[in-house]
Amino acid sequence: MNIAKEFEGQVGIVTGGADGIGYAISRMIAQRSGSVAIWDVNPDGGKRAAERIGQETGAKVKAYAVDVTNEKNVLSARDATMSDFGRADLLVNNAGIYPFENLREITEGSWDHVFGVNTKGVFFVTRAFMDPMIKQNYGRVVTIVTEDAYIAKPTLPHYAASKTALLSLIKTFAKELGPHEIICTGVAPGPVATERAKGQSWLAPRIPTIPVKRAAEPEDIAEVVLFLGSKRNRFVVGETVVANGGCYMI
Amino acid sequence: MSEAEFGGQVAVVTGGAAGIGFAISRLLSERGATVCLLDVDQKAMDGAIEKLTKGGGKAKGYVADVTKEDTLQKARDAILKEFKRTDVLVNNAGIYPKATLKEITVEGWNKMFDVNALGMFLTTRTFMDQMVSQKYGRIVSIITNDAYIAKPTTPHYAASKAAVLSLTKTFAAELGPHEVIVNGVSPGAVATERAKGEGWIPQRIPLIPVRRAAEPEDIAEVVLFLASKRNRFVVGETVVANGGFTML
Repeated sequence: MNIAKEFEGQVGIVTGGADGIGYAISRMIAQRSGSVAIWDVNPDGGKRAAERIGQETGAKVKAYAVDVTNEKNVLSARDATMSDFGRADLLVNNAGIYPFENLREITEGSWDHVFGVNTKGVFFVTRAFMDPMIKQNYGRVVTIVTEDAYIAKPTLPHYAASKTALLSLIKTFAKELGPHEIICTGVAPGPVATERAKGQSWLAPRIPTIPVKRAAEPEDIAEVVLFLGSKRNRFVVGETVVANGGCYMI
Repeated sequence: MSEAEFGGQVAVVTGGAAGIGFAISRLLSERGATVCLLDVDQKAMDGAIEKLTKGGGKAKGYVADVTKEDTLQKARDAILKEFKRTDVLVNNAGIYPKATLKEITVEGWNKMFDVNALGMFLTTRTFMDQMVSQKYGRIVSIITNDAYIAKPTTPHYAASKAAVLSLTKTFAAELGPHEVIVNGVSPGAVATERAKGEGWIPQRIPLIPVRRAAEPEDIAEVVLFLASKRNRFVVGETVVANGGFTML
């Protein structure tokens, strides 16, 4: 087995791939010889990421401006992606938002937006790619959840709940698609030192509570996603792997 | 990343002479590790070592009983003398004699917990100091899908493995600050030679979303990911690898 060529001939689709964890996943697929379709709601960010990764790795990387809350938009981006790349081996549902608001502060609009992106978006995008994957008789779908899906989260109640719903969808999709050799799993990260998180005040105080005494680099999460999203994973199905440095052991 | 992901590393696998343990040993060996088998069965181990070394791999067997701390320490001392380090420990040794609530004898109960739970504890403790002093280690314990569910055919087996779920978390918290990462893998139906002989696999397959039992290698791949340098943030976690049979 040669890990550097593990995704040779394969096509990965990464939602929210313009920055943070999604960018690290996109880059790692390209480094391991896969082609990548970066889906992002931010057209400039997506384009910049695709160019940067393409130049660095020589892989075929293209950006698509997509709003995952709009199914029509998702389906037309799917058609464009399939026409550009010809297949879809690995879908990474990574797009997500987490506006800090408590029980009292959350507006109905914000509630709907959080569930729209984090939950309905995963449903739309997975449904969009299920048929091409069934036709190939091969697929891997990895959804980014969060450790907050398992715990009380007063600073982000809607975010945590929208992600807990994903734990359920991952199992159901896994059961529905498993017979077609499409394996659906999740990864629930803990604290990750993304650029955004490094600018926020919660990260530093968390570190002492993590057994490995550090936050994850986005690449640490990407490694787990790439294992579950590879041909090496043949029997972890419907499972969400918690990658939080042992912060909460669930 | 080179092909020899475990190049320069020394891996210890308990119960490594057959079944899942042998598949793990073989994959570690193919990917560059020096593999040290710990097993109670010298003859089975000799056969396994022959297979591992035939292809040019480096492997050595040590007779040890995971329920007897002194035999583990003796094996560890011999390993460290010869190979100087231990990067990976796979706690795979386990037993599962079937017996129901009414049938289990006290001896049967004690033996089950001795091999499956005490053995994991003693083996981990035996190798922890070396890993702590290296500031690097990966420990993966083989648990089972049965640790989460009602299991009338082997209540003591399921319970002894549920104990390992707990130990996996506690050891992960204890050893994490030393860059020693502890995890588990819970297999479901695996088509080992023994399981194939028992005849329960065909009835199980329709209930598994991917419509097959695992090959031992499928489980080994999950173990190797968790045991590698690529795993830096999955800690204290037990990954269920059961083809989606029970999604917990």
